[in-house]
Amino acid sequence: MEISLQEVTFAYQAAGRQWPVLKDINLRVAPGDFLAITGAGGSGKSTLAMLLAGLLEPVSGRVTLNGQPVRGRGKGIGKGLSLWQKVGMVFQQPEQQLFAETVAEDIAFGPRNMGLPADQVGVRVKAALRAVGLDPDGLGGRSPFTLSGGQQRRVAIAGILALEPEVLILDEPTAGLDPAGRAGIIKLIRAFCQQPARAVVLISHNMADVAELARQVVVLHQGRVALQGTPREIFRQGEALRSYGLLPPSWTRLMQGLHRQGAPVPLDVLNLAEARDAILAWLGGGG
Amino acid sequence: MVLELGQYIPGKSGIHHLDPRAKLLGLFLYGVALLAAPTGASAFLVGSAAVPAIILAGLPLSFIWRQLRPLVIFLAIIFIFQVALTPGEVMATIGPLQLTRQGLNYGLLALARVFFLVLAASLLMATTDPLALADGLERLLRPGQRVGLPAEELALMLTLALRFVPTLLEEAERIMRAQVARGASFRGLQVKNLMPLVIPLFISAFRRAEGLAEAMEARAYRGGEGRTRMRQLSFQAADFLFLLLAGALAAGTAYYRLRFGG
Amino acid sequence: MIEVQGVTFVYPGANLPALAGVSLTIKPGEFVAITGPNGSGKSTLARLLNGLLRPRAGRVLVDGLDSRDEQSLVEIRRRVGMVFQDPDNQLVAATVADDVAFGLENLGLPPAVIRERVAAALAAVGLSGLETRPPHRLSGGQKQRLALAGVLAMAPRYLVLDEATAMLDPVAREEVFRQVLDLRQAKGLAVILITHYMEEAVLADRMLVLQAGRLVLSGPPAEVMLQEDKLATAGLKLPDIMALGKILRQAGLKIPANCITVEELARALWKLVSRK
Repeated sequence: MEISLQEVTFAYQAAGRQWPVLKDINLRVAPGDFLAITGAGGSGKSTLAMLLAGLLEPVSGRVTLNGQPVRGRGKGIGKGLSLWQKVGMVFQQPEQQLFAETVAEDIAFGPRNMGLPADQVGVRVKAALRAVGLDPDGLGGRSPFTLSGGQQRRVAIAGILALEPEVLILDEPTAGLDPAGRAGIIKLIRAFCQQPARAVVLISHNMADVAELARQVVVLHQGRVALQGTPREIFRQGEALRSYGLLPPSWTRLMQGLHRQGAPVPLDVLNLAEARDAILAWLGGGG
Repeated sequence: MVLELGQYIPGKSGIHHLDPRAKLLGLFLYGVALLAAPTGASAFLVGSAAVPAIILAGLPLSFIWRQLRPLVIFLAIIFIFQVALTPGEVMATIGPLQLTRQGLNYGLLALARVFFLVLAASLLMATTDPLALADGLERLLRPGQRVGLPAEELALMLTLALRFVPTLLEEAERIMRAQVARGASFRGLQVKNLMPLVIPLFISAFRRAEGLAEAMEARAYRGGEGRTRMRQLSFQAADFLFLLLAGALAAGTAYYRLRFGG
Repeated sequence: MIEVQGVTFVYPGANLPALAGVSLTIKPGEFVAITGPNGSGKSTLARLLNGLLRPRAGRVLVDGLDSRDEQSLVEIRRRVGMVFQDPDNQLVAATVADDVAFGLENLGLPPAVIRERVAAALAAVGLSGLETRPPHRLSGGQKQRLALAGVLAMAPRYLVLDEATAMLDPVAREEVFRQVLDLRQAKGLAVILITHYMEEAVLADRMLVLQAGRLVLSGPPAEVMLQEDKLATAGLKLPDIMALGKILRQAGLKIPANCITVEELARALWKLVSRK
C-alpha cells in the first residue's frame, strides 16, 4: 500500500472563516518505509496524520492510494473504501476509545466491521493480543477498564492491529507512559515494521523515539514541511532544530554544546553508543 | 447551524453593557407581557418591542431570521393545530378541516408567544457573556437560598458546563474518528451503533468530573458558604430605564387585557 | 515543614495498601523529587500532602496542622498548592482570569484583593493579556502555567506537581519546569515534584524513590543514582546523560559520577582535554 499526498492544503472551518492548518504538503509512504513526522505543538502533525488515514479530506490537493485518487474514509465508494481498510490509525491516548465489556470484544470490533466471519475474527483477536505482548487466554475475557494504563494502551493498539493494516499510523504512542510502558510500545512498533511490505508513520515530538526508530523524518513548522531527510540529516541541523520548537535528546544537546565550543565531534549521533564512540574518538585523537 | 442559537456575540453596545440581572428580569417581564396579550395582533405588537433592542445591540436584522429558521417546522405545527382544532365561526373549509376566526387568532397568538420569547432569549444570550449571565442568575436566585435553593451551586454548575462543553465536543469528535478508523459507521441512529462513541465519552466525562472535583477541593472549595466573587455587578441608570420600559410594557399589556377583555 | 509520619493508606476495596509505613519530612524552600513506576504510590502520597486523602494510619502535619482535623483543611490546602497531570480537568472557569480567581474566591477574599492577586499571578507565569481567553483555547503548556497561576495566587508555601508535565511536549515541559524553578527562586517556595522523568528528578535537592507503596531510596540524586540495582528493580533507569557518563567511565575516561546535566558532562570532558 502506498499513500501519497500531492500539494495538499487543509484548513478548519469555524465561525464562517477558514483557519489554515497545513499548506502545500507533498508526502509519500511506501511499503518498507518508517516515516516520522515531528514538530512543535500546533505545527499540524495530528491533522497530517488524519489526512494520511483518510479521516479528513484536504481543502485542495490530491490523496492517492496505490496511485488511485481517493476520497476520505466513509465517503469513498467501492475501491476507495476497501483500500482505506489497509491503513490503521492509532490516535493519541487510544485507551480512551475502549468501550466493550471484554478485551477480546473490543479488539473484535474492527474485524467485525470489516464483515469477517466469527472464526476468523477470533483468530485475529488472539494474534493481535500476542502481537502487543498480552496473553489472549489470561486477559481476553477481562474488562479493559480493570487493566493498567499501559496495558489499556496496548489493548487499544491491538484493536488496530486486528484490522491487519499494511500502513500503521501512530500519533504520540508513548506519551504519558513510564519507562517500562514506553519500552513495551517501542518493541511492538519494531515488530510490526519488521514484517514484509509494512509501513509505519510515527507522529512524535519525542526526538529520542524518532532517532531510535525512523528511517525518514519530516519536520513540520507552522503547517509546512520545514525539513525532510534521514534522522542523521535532521540532527545535523544542530541548533536550528530549536527554532522549529524541537528539543533534541540530551546526548545530541551535549554534542551541539561541545561542537559550539570547538570540539570536532559529529552532531548526528543517534544513540548513546554512538555518542560514546564520538567522544572517545575526539579525546583519543586529540591526545 | 445549531451554534447560531444561544451563541454569545461580543460587542460594545448599550444592550451588551446592561447588567445581566436587568436583562434577565427584562426577559421575564417581556414574557409576562407576551402571555398577557389577549389577541394575535396585540401579541405581535408587544413582541415587536424586541426589534429596537436588536437594532440597538448592533445585531443585523438577519439575526431574527436565523433564530426563526430552526423553529419553522415547530411553529408551523403549533399554528396549524390551533387553527384547525379551535371551534367557532367558520371562515373556510379545507378537506376535513375547518378554518375558524377564533382558530386563526389563537394560532397567531401561540405563534407570536413562542417565536418572540425565543427571539428575546437569543438576544439575551447573544449580548451577555455567559459567565455574567450565570452570575446574574445566581444573584437573582440568592434570596431563595433561605428556603434551601442552592443558588451558588447552580451558578457553579452552569459555569462548569460552559467550561466543559467545548472540551467534551472536541473529545466526541476525536473518539468518533478513532472508531471510524476501526470501520465503525455512525450513519444510522441505532443505539447499538452509538455505543462505541457513547461509552468512551461517558467514561471520559466521569473521569473528568472526578478529576475536577479533586482539583476544586485542592483549591479549597467547600461549597458556596463563605465564598466571595471577583466579578461585581452594579445597577446603573440605564439598567433602571431598561427595567422601567420592560415593566411598562408588561403593565400596559395587562391593563389592556383587563380593560378590553380576552 | 511537612511531616509525614508512618503513613499507611488503603483505597476502599483494595487488598494491598497504596502506601505502607511511609515517613518523610519536607522543609520550607526545599526541592524534593518523588519518583517511582506507575502504581508505586506517588500520586497517593501527593494527595496525602494536602489533605485530599487522609491516612489510614500515621499522620501528616503541615506546619503543625494535622490533615485529619477538618478545621485545618482549608489552611492546609492554601499552604500546599497542587498542580495535576491533566490540564483539562483542573481548570474550572470559562476564562483565564476567572480560573485564577476560583481559589481566592473559596478563601473568601474581598473582590479588590482577588483582582490584584489574579493580575500578579498571571504576570508571574507570563499569561498577562490572556485574561478573557477560554481555557480550551490555550496550548498545553499555557494550560499548565494557568493551573500554576491559580495555585500561586493563593500564596502557598509548598507546591506539589503531580506529573504536571507528563502530557506536554518536550518544549512545553521544559518551559513549565523552568517556570517552576524560577518561582521557587523568587518566592522561596518548596517544590515537591512527582515524576517519572529522571531528567527532571535529578535536578532536585533530594530524591525519593517509591516502589509498591514503600520508600526504597532517599538522598541527593547523585547518590541515589549510584544504587542502580535498586533503581532497576523499581523500574527506573538512569537519565541519558548519566548513562552516557557511565559507559564513558567503563571505556576508561575519568568522568565524575555526579555529572547529571548536559553542561556538567561537557565541563568534565573539557577538563579531560585540558589535562592532556
